[in-house]
Amino acid sequence: MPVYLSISPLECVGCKICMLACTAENLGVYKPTSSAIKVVRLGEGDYVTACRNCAKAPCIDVCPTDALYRENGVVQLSREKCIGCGRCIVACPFGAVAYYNGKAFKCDLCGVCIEKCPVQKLKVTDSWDQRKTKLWNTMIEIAGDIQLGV
Amino acid sequence: MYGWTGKTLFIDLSRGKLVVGESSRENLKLYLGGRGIGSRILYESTSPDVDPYSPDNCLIFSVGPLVGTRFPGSGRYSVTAKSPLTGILGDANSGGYFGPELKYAGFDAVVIRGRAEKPVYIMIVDGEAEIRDASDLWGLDTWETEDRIRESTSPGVKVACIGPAGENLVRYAGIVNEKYRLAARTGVGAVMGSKRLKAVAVSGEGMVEAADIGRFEEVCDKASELIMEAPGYEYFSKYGTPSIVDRALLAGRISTRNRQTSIFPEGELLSAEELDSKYKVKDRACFACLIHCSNYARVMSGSKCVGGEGPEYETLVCLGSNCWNSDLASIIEMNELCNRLGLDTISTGGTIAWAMECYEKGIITREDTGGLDILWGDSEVMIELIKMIARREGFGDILAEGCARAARKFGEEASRYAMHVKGMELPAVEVRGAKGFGLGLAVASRGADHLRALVNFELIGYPPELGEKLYGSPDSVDPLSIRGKAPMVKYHEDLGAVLDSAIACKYTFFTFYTLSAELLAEALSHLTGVDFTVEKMMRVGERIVNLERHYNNLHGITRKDDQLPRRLLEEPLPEGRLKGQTVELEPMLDEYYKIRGWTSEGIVPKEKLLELEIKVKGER
Repeated sequence: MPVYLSISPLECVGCKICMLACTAENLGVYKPTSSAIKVVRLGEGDYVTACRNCAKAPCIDVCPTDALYRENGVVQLSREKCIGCGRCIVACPFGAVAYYNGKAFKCDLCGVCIEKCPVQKLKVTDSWDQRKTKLWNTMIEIAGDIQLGV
Repeated sequence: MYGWTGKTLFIDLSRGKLVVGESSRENLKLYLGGRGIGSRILYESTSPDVDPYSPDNCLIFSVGPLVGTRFPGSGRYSVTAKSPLTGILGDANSGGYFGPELKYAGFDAVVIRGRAEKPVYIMIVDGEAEIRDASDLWGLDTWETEDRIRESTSPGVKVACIGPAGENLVRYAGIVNEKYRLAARTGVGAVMGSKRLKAVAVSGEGMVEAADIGRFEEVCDKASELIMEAPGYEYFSKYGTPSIVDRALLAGRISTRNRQTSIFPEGELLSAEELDSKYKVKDRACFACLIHCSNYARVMSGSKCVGGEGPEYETLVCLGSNCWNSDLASIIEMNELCNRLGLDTISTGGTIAWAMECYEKGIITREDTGGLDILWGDSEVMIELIKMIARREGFGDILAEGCARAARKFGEEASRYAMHVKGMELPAVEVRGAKGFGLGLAVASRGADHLRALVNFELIGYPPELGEKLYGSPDSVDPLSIRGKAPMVKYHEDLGAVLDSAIACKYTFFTFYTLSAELLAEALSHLTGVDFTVEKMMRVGERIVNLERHYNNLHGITRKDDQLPRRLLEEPLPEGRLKGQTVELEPMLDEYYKIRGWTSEGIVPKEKLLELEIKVKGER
């Protein structure tokens, strides 16, 4: 199942240190707009997005030079092959592909953001794990309701 | 350029002209950025006869080399202008996201002069800017303004704007960014209003480059580690500044009833735990900050849900205990109201507390207030007053002048109860129980301000040996002693000026004291490629403090103005642990001037300016 970076919008404090660490580590500059992980503040929540490594990844489909490919479940980008056409950026339904210095740039789960997150709640999540948790929580709720005679 | 962008945006609103110019390289090295650059530009461009509300006053938004990097707490910007509240140097500093965005948009500073004919706002996008019509925004509160600008431009735009208070020239109006973050003090928002400038909106996709990113990142890691491993980090990052309320209550040092006493019996209701357990939703951080001291809180008021980030310690005291108000929910509501209207909660609270005491003493009557009973702790009246102040309606028109000016309308006795220094209302700290802070407030270059010399050192309870080593007296660790306070204030002022100019939040340094000046110098060197030794960096701080003092000297500020309200000097605290305490200011002042190298009248001599390479205006 797809793996991706996640944190609860109520646990994330919106410091954007992950974005700064991402570009410093991978691009050698501080440039949040080119970060592979994004924090967006909406109302009281701080929402994090990064590549979700979709099973049928539109970015891989549209790449004309095969710069995008899958390795161990993670969508990887070859900066050598990339011609900077931007098709993957448009194709990604999450806006998770960034752009830097004439080429695409995306999350390869290098983990620097997780390491630098001051609340230490940013983590790699597996959709399957999430499903299991949700399933169990629902079942427990239903079981409780039945016991209460609802 | 590394660290800096090298560009400054000059705007003349009277002529509708915008020019992108080079930042003065010399000034960047001598004054760093932020507050330092702001003060330098203000000094060069406003003479003593310029009225703060005249088009000739300058409004400067500035960032520093650290802004936009990962250095802890570096996501801030500074606003400088001649203050309508004090008539001297004014500046304020705010966190959030606006500062870094301005840097990414390509500017070290934006210098605004003149006055627009009609309301305008400035839109800055990636190195370019334009002046846009803001007629339809005029009159809106800061939250609506930000939303409207974002709707009509792009959702990622960062906005710093004024509310009705700034438009109506309330002398302590602030500039608001991201709804809850204020460059609040000294009335910079009113200067913006006088220029008919509703907002500055910024969007930047640029970057900050370091001379040596590897080593700079290492310093950032080290700084982060030192902060996160500090004892007290966990506590402070969870509770934020409201935790200072708890500390002040324990020490019997909470400003109460316009500083008539330092004991607030219902103080527990304003404690950090109370805020955390009843109203808090989550922690919030400014850009690049790992302390995340901000608390997002909300509460129901009638059928409306109000709140947001805050209230902070200053607000809890200034609108709380100092007005005898223990209703935390009402403070959250007032905090939102001040954010929306664009008011400094410290000065707003200080002015209302003054009015409450004058009402109690019969100096202000119902006739003056238009029928309002301004009684201690009446939060509904306070909310009403805040609205009246922002609109300058009725009695609010008088309060909008600040307590010092308002008191002049009611005679000598009323002035006795006006708690201000140089015209600016006192912050929350009860200085009869923290004498280093007392000296700091008296000499601060922007009037009563606790952040110029944030001498938390004296409150932490360090061992006397450390006090002796650093400030020459073992008693300096005792908040009630006046010994060693002058050198302590000097050191905090100098390093503080560097932090305000670099810019990094003072809390990263002066809360835990685990970061050193060496570390900051190292960070600046690796970032900018300019070799900053500790001595050179601390000289930058000293230079800024002296330049600001020189500017204020030109405006007639001398020793006679470096005073505290008479109450703090003459009226001993009546109860509690601090019973009998006053501030013995004069001996501290003597010592302070001496180590600063100023005359006994508090004037910066010419030799001192020369020594610090401060180029005097009009000389080559």
